[in-house]
Amino acid sequence: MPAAPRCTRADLAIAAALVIAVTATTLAAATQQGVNRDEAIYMESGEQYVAWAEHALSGALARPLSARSIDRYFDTNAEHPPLMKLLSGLSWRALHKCECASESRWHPAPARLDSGRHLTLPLLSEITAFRLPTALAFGLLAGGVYLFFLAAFGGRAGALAAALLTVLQPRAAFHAQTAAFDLPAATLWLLTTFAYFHALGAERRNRAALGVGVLYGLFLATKLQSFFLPFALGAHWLFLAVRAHRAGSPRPTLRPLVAMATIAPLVLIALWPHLWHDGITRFGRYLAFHWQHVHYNFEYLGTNYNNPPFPWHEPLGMLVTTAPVVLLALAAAGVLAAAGTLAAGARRSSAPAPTTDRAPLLLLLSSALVPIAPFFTGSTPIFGETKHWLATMPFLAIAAGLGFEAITRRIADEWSLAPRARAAVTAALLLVTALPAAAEVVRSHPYGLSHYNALAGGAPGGADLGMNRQFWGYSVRGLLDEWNRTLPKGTRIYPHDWNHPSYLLYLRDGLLRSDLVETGLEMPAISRSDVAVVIHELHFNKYEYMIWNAYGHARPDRVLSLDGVPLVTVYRRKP
Amino acid sequence: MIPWARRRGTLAAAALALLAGWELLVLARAHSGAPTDDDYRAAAAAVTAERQAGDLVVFAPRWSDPLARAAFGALVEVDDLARMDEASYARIWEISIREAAAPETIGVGQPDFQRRFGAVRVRRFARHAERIVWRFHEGAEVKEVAHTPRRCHVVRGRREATVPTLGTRLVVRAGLADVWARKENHAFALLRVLVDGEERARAVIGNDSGFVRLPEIAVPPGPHRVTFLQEVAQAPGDPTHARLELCIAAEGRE
Repeated sequence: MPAAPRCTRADLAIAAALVIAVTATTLAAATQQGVNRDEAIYMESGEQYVAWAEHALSGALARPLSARSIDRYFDTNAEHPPLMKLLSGLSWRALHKCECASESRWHPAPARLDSGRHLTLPLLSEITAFRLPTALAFGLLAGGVYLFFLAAFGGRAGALAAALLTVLQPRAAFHAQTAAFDLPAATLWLLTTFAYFHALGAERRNRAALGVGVLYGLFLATKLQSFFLPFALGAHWLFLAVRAHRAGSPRPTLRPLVAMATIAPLVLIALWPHLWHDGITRFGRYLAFHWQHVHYNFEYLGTNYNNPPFPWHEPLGMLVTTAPVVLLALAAAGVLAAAGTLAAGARRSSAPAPTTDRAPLLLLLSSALVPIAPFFTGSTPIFGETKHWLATMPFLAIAAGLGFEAITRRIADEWSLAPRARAAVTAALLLVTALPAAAEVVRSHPYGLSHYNALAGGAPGGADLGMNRQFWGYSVRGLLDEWNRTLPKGTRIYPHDWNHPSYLLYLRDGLLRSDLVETGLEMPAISRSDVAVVIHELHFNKYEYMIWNAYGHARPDRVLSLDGVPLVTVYRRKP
Repeated sequence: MIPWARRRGTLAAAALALLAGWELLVLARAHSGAPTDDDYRAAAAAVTAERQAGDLVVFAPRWSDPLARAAFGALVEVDDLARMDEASYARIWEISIREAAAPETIGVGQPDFQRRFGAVRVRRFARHAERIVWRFHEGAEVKEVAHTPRRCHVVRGRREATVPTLGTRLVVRAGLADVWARKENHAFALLRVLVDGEERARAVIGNDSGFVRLPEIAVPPGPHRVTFLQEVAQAPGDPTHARLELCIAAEGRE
């Protein structure tokens, strides 16, 4: 492992380029991405939250800070902290183009515009504007991984490989295209970890610790996973403290952790008006919601699980069948290389490691394991998809970067390469590394949740294995253009798992003809429909049979598929 | 010359390149190996040309069935999809991709017809067909039992039928319908089957039992009274959290 250098201006430029390129590419891809159930609600919530700020600042609310005023806007989706919804709402408010007054019935009630138009910079569609902050979070994740790698381990080639392998993951790329919280949570996990690592060795300790506190506060205001980060950082700090104690050295600074415990909650409260009245009760409700969270349906190895006990190996199974294989192999190589370096260091000297060594490998290990660890228990609520431990993936990519760096350095030594030749070999190897992962992202787009890797045999292999096909009802977006062209005026559509807020957003963005009617839920909605869809997940088979009962036939009119794997089946009622 | 043992970095890079190539190849094959609509249409045309009344068409792997049904259209009726089992079918057409075999054709013997249409393989199997003389579930709705379609009656408590003849035996299958009901349910159902007032078969059925085949009941010729009794089993499971949508199909056969 090379000595960790200071970041140069060139490195900052590379990180900035990564941020810009990843954000722009993700935003472009997001224009083809279906609206998923949850993000539709987050978008609506964001619009409401920002409407509160706007109404408060414009004087439209007599007592904007009263519980009544705040609750009218912030009671919606209070089971999740507000940061990403606020940012989505702000982005939407600043950048969207719409006819919001004439379409007011499609907007959430507290945010409706009675007349006139929003003053905006009309650069993006409504849906894309809502998604910009997540796309930016993905860019920041790439840049953050690059800089963290350099700061912790050194080696530009490894840092670049780590950054590329962080973003070239079909599922991460999918989540980055939605206005949801999982990708930003992974970003803030990484950035807070980076800030903590920096603060341990910083000269201006208070400022560095303040940065950790603020970042962790933003993380607390993003998603529940934030509660687990102190375990990762705390374990690392304890190791450093014990090591220092044994060496008779001063213990590492506690300031970053103190800032996390003090400043961060203040950031959360400041950003979440919902907590400004009766905050303790409401915070308790927020925790209770997740503590008692319903178990979702999730197909894994041919079985539909919706109650514990779940197989302990499910996170591992999902990891090895969804992450690019090159990433997995390089991460394994990186772990081996790091272990080899540690062992060699131990052989060379029996003296304890210097206290200036901030044990980045241990930090890497704890940060990678803690996000995924709760899901090995077999009883954690919200069992299933990789998004719940998405924060593990950047650290896995960093481990892969270590593997990449080790390989390129060895090659350079083995062939005594001149700098230019070495750069060429590194570039070629980087291309080899990134190509399959990039191909997987491109091929699976916009159906990233249906992607399975080469170990599984691609999407059809995943279906053979009986793995979860998708969730959130977003894939129906692939049918909208065709429906707009072919369905008769006033056609009534049973939407199955794409919910009413998603339908409204499609209408708002002109992605669905406004005369096409969404009929609602369950059998009554199927009975009054002309066209019915079933979005394929094992536990949704029931709805396909309900359609057969109502329509009297089982012949699909259209099947949307990925590599021959059905995603959505459409039925038409016979005249 | 440096021995290859000292070229670990080079070997690792070569392995990485091979792995990347393999990964691309597998994913490209998954894409190019997917059946096209034309493959399915050609297969459907071939089956249409050879098909006889009462043939069963099945698809493998099971997840491929919506795409196949879109092409096979009227060759696949709801009654066939939601059948109790395959006993009444003399011939089974298996439409498969990825060399998959349908469970219905496993152990049936060698196919007497086999052709390929692009990525789609068509095989036909002949088998002994039983004659059905009475169907309890005739006209019932299609329900989801173990994530598969079944035409069956949800029975709560007691259900009785008077039948002119049951042939030589009564075959009963039952399972818990509705994935949401099963999610809430922690109990087991006890199903008892009475013929002319005498209990002839019983089964304890839970969330994971699937579509259980009860022991076959031999019956003499003539009219019979068939009674299905459903109750909450006291063990195993938790009878206090019962949501039992016990769905029953039954046939008199000879």
